[in-house]
Amino acid sequence: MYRRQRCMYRRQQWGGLLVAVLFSFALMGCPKQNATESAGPTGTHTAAGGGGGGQKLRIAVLPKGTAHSFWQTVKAGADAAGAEEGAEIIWQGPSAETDITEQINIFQNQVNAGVSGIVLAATDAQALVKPVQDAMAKGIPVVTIDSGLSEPISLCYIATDNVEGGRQAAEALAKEVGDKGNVGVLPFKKGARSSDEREKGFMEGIAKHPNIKVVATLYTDSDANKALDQTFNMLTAHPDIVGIFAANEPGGIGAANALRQRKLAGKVKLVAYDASDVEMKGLQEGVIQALIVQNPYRMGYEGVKTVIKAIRRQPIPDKQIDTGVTVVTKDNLNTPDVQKLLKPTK
Amino acid sequence: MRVSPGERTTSSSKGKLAFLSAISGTLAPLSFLLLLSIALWFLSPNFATRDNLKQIAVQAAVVAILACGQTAVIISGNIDLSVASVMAFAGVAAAQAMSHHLVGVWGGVGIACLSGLILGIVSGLVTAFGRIPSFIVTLGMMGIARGAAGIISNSVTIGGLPEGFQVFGFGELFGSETRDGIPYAVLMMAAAAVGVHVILARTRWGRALYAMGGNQEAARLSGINLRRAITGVFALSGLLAGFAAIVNVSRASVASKDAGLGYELDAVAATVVGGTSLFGGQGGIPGTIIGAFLIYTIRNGCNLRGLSPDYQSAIIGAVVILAVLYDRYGPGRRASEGRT
Repeated sequence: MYRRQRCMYRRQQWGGLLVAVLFSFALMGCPKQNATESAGPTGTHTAAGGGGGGQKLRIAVLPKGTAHSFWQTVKAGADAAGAEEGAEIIWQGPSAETDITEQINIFQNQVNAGVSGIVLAATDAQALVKPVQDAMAKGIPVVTIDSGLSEPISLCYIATDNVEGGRQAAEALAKEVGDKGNVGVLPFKKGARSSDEREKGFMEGIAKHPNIKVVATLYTDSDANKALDQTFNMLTAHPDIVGIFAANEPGGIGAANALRQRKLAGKVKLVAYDASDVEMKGLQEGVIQALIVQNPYRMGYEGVKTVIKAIRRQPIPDKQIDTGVTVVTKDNLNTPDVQKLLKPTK
Repeated sequence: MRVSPGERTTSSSKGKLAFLSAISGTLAPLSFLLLLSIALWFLSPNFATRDNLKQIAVQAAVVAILACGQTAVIISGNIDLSVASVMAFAGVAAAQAMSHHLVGVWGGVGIACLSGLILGIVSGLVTAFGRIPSFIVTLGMMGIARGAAGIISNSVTIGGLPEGFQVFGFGELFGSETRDGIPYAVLMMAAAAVGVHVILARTRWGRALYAMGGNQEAARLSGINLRRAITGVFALSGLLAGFAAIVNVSRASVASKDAGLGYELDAVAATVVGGTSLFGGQGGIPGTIIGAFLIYTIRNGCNLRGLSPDYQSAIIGAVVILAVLYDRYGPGRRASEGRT
């Protein structure tokens, strides 16, 4: 080898090491994400949780996504339960609700990190089955929330009865449109259990109203911009539409925007799932007539509590917990019960 | 290649120089990877466990396989933006066939590889004969493949795969209930890496790819059949996308049209972090594998410390820029570069 090249390689090696050392220092400086610092009225962590002695419990709460306010509320519930039990909550979700592989990677990494228990909202009912089986075989209890698995292997499934939610949405919309006319539906993802169930429930509910007909069903892929476009398409194709049911938060936001832009707010009635701040404003403004509100706070809270019960080998009374739906309109918006549901942390 | 102008080479040293060219760019990412690993060993108690390290390798496998094909494509002076979409299509095609009981496990493997190969050949032919920049051709193929995946799956994830198919994502060679083996996903990654490395370092085709990437006109004048070489390298990239689909679908137990979103850029990132120049003409597989491991070690480290995927994206993006800057302006470059 030529001397010049040997010199080059050696300089490269030292240069590489220098970069590596600098970066390692930078990485060591990164704070360890500690979710319990944001929760709990006491503001401090209680010492190692009761009943177990020794080490602090570490619970991984793995949502399907992190962007929508629904998930933020789940986190609030989980953090509150964690603070009560003196457990550390690790919150990690994939960057997109459709990224199945990323959630599997996160799940497996947390199992290897030796967490005490896992609360999971599955991006896909089938894909997470094997990872959950492997985790439970390793002695890590798993509880599912919001989106379950295709096989009944988790210790407890805590979710909204979405079929009932769809039915209630149908009743609310029927009332708003005066029990007759053409309506459209905006579910989010065919094949996603919660989307399918809400669609199914809605169709069942509408079937009880013979003068109402569902003329359009368009999928929004949980994207508000896509929902906007789909609503425009719906209104253009069926100018006589009197009501729309949007099956989740981005659907509701997109549909509301579409109605505003076409100056149809209040004329075409809109019933939407979930209650983000934007949706609540829409309700007060009158562009949304009713919100089907789930209880994500309870899902996070019960999820953590239940998995801790499993860790402590206490019996789990119910294998399924229905966290319920509430129909919220302008009329009952300011009642204390509804306010507690909408703002559980304040 | 890092050869001083005017240096004469014998045929036996050509192989050596190709290998040196491949590893010389890897010293920086390799030292970075080692130091990062040591840092994580101190920071996270569970990083250095056998299970976790095995997990990193399995998780990196899909992107590593894609990156091997991408490395060959980039060395030849091209780029393949469609690899992730082709992988999604190949996965969906194989899953549909298997779930409808048209084929068994090996049939599924065959369909995945074949779909990838065919789409790769199409991209290659259009690039070679149409004389259109590969960026544009593969950009189009990216849309076609992703759309086709959605169409043939009706936008639903496809499950119901034969149980034997799980072996690619979860099975281990020599492994059993009580013993740790080598994950098949890692073996598949090794096979792809060795295969492409042999092509690049030891065959005429490989040398033609380096030559094309260095100076396409000179390569053509020296008698290399550009069209055959280009079609071939995209076919290889497509085949590897199909191969990667097998591991990806097996790990997820379902095929989704949204599989691998962003993986084409991860494959490029692994390639350039590993020392391959985006301008073509140099680089190699060893660096790419190190690059893939580096990316997934960063991801794993972030997961263990509870940092969200947003931190991961930001850190990986920064590492890619630093790696390319270092490669371009760092010590060792100025001496041999004729390129501005």
